[in-house]
Amino acid sequence: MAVPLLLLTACEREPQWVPMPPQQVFNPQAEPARYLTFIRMNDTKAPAFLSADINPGPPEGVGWRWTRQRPELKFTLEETQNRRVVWNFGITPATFRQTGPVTITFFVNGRMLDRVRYAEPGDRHFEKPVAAEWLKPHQPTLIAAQIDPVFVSPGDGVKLGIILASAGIIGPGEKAE
Amino acid sequence: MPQAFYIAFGAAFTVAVAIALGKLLLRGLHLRFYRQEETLFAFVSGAAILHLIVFALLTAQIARKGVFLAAGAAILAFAIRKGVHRPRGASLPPLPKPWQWMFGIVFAIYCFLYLSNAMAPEMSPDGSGYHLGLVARYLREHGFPRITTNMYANLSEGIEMLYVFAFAFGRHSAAATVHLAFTIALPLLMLAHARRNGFPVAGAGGALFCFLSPVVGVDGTSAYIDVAVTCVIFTVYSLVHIWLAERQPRLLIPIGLVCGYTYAAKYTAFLAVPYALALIGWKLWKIGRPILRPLATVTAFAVLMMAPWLVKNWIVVGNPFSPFANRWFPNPNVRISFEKEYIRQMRDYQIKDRSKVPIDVTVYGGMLSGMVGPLFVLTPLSLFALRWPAGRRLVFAGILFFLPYFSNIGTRFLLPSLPFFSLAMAMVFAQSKAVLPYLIVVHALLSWPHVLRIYASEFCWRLQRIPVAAALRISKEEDYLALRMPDYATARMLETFTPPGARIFAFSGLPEAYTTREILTGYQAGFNNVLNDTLWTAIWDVNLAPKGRQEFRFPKQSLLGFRVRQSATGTDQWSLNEVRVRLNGAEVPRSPQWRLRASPNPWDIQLAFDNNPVTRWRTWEAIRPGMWIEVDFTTPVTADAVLLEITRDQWQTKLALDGRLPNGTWTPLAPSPNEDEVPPMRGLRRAAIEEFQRRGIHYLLIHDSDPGADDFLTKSRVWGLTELAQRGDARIYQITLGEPSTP
Repeated sequence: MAVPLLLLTACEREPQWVPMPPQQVFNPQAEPARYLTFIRMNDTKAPAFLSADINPGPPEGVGWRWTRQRPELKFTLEETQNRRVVWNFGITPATFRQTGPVTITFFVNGRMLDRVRYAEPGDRHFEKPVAAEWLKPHQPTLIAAQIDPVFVSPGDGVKLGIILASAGIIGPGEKAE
Repeated sequence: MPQAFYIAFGAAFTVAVAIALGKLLLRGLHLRFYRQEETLFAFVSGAAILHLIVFALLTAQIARKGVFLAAGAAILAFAIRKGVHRPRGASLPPLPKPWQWMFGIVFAIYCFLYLSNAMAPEMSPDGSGYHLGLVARYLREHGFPRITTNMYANLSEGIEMLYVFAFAFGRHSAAATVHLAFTIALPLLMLAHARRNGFPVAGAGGALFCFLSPVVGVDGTSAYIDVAVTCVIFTVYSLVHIWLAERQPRLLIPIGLVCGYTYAAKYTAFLAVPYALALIGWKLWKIGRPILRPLATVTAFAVLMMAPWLVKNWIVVGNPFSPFANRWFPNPNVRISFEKEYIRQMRDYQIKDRSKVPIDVTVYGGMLSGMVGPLFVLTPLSLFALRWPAGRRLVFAGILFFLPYFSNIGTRFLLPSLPFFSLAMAMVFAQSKAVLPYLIVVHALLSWPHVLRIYASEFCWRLQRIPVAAALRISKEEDYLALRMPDYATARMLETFTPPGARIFAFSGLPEAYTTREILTGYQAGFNNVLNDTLWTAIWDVNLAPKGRQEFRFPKQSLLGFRVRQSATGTDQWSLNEVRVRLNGAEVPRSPQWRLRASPNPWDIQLAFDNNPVTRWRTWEAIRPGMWIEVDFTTPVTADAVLLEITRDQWQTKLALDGRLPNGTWTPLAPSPNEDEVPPMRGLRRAAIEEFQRRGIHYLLIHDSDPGADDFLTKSRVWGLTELAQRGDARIYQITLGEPSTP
C-alpha cells in the first residue's frame, strides 16, 4: 500500500526558477606557468617522471636510482625556447671494471642530442642546449640515454647502466645540480 | 579491561537484548514453539525490534553508550522479571546419536574458526568502508546526520542498527561478532526446521553445507550483512511454514515484523514479503477462510519495519528508494546516470564470458569476490528433492531467493538461496547412508582456510587464517591492520594531517571506519560527482576540456528570455559549461535580475552561468527529447547571439534556440548552432580548486592508481596544492593556492 502511495507522488514537477549565481573571476594568468621539468631521484614525486629503465622503487644511498640500458624520463614544458637538457649521474667503479669505457647517447623526443664517451668511472654532469623545434609545449617531452655497454650481473643476468641522481630540462638562469 | 572483553561484551549484550525482546514478544503473544526453536526465533524477531529502538534513538539524537547500556539493562531486567529466560516448550524430535556427534564436532570446530576471525580486527572492504564507517559516524554524532554525500547511507541499515548498539561497547569487532551470531543462528534454524518437518539427518547435513561454505565464513565473520539477511529470510520461511501447519493467528505478527525486517536489512531481500503474503493468502483461499485480515496484519507489521527507512530517505535525499528509482524520484543526490551505470556494473562485474560464472562462484572465487565451495557444483541435484513436499517447498524458495542474484552477480548475493538449496541437496544425498557424511567431511576439508589456499584463486575473498592472538588483542590491532590492509595507514594519515571536521575529496573509497574525517568519494553522490567532474575538466582531457563552442546567431532583437532545447535521443549526456548572451560580438553582462531553470537537473543550472569554465550543468542522464534550459531576463535585453561553451563528449545532441519576445510570445530564433573550438587555455586547475574551496573542501586524497594522479603530483603547485604526507600509494594534498615557488 505504501509503495503505490509513494509512487503517486513521484512525478516530475515543473522546475523552479533560481537566481543568477555569483560570478567567479576566471583568470588564466592566475595559474602559474610552472611545470616541474627537473627532478631529483630522491624527490617523492620522482616516480611520476620515470618513463622506462629506471628503478621505480625507493631511491638508494644518498638518493640515486639504478638505470638499465636506456633510461627515459617524461616532462611537460611550458616554454620551449633556450632549454638545456641535464643529466647528473655516476658510473660506479664496480660496474666499470666489467664494462670498461662507457658511451652514452643522449636523446630528446627520439632525436639524438649528443654522444659522449666516458673513459673513467665517477660522478658525471651532462648539459647541452636543445633546439626549440624539438620541443612542444604542454605535451610530453621524453629525454633518454642509451648506455653502451651495460654491466651484466654474472649471477642473475640483470643489466645495470648508471646511477642516476637527477635529470631534466632547464631554462635560462636555472641551475641543475 | 582488555579490548577482547569489550568486544565480547558488546556482541553478547546486543544478542542478549535481542533475544530478550524477541522472547517478550513471542511469549507475550502466547505462541507455542519447540524449545530449541524459540530462542532462535526470539533472536531474529528481537533483532528486528531492537533495530527499531536503535533507529528511534538515532533519530532522537540520543544514541550514546550510556543510553544503550541503560536501555539494554532495562530490557534484560524486565525480561528476567517476566521469566522469559526459563526454557519452555517440548524438545524437537532428536537427531540420531552419530549425527549429533558429527554435527557437534564439525560445527564446534568451525565456530572456533569463525569466532577468532570475527573478533580479529575488522578489515573487510565494505565492513571497514561504509557499513561500519556509517555506524561509527552515527555514534560520533549521537544520531543520524543529514548525509547527502554518500549513497550507501541511503540503503536500509537494519542490521547496522544492531552494529551501532554493539559498536558502542566493543567497536568494530563487536559488530562483526554480532554478524557471527546470525551466522551461527542460521544453521541452527535450518536444523530446527528439518527436525520439525521430519528430515533431521538431511537437516544436519544441509545446515553444515551452508555453514561451512567459504563465502558464509568470510562474510558472516565480518561487518557485512549478507549472512544476517539470509538468516532473517530463512526465519520468514520457517515461521510461514509453521503458520501453514498450525495457523496460530498471532504468529502473523512476528511473521510481519520479520518480513519487514528483510527489507530493513537489505532491499534485495524484500521478496520475503510477497513470498509470505502469497503463501498465507493461498493457504487461506484454499481452505475457504477470510484472507484480508491476516494479510493486513502481516502487511501492517511489515510496514512498521520498512517505513522508517522509506521516510528517512524521503526526508533526507528526496527519494524513499534511494539510491535506486531516481527516475521516479528525481533528486540532486543520486544521479540517474550513476544509478544506471551502478546497476550495469553489478550485473556483469565486467565479466565478458558468463559461462565462467558457475565455476568461479563455486571453485575459484577470483572474479566475483568469494565462492560457495566446490560442493555446490552439485546444486542441480537438489532438483531430485522435488519428489518430496518439503523438498518442493525448499527448491521453490531457493529459486525465488536466487532471482535477485541477477541484479548483482557477486558470490555473496547467492547467500539468500543457499540454505534452501543446501537442505534440498542434503535431502537427496541423505537417501544413501554413506554419501552425506562423506560429503560433509570433504566439504569441511575443502572449506578450511589452509586448504582453500591450495586451489582457490589468489584473489578469492575468503578466510585466510585462525587469528587467535589478534582476536584476543595479544597482538596489537594497529599492527595487524597496517600489515594486511594498505589503506588503514591512509585512513590514519588523515587523522594526523587534517584537522577534525575536515572534508576530504577522494576518487576512490577508503576504510572510513578508521577515520573520523568525512570522505567525499567521487562516485558516491551527486555533490561528489560535480567535484569529480570539475577536476576532470580541469585536467583538460581530450573530451572533457571545455573547448567546444556552439553559437546560435539570430537577427538583433529585444528579448525577455530564451530557451535552448535538446531534441535528440542517444547515449550521450548534454552539458553546458557556460552560456553567454552576446551582442555585436561582445558578451551582454549578466544581470543579477536574470532567472534560470532547467529540465532535467534543475539543481545545477547555476553552474552554467557562474563564469567558471570547469563547472558545468549536466543532464546526468542520457539525452532524450524534451530537455531544456531557460533564462528569464525579467526586463527586455537586446541580443544577436547565444554562445554555449561545452565539452566534446556530446556529439549526439541536437539543439535549437527559442526566444521570448517582449510581448511574452515564444518564437524560434535559430534551428541549430554554429560549431567551433578554442585552443587549450590555462587557469583551469586553479579554477577547479577554487570551486573546491567555495564548497568547503580543503583536502584531496589521491592514490597513485587514480586517473590523473601524475598530474596532481607533478603539477601540484599549478593546482595550488601542497602535499602533506604519503602513505603507501596515497597522498594527502591541502589546498593552499599560495604563490608557486621555482621548481
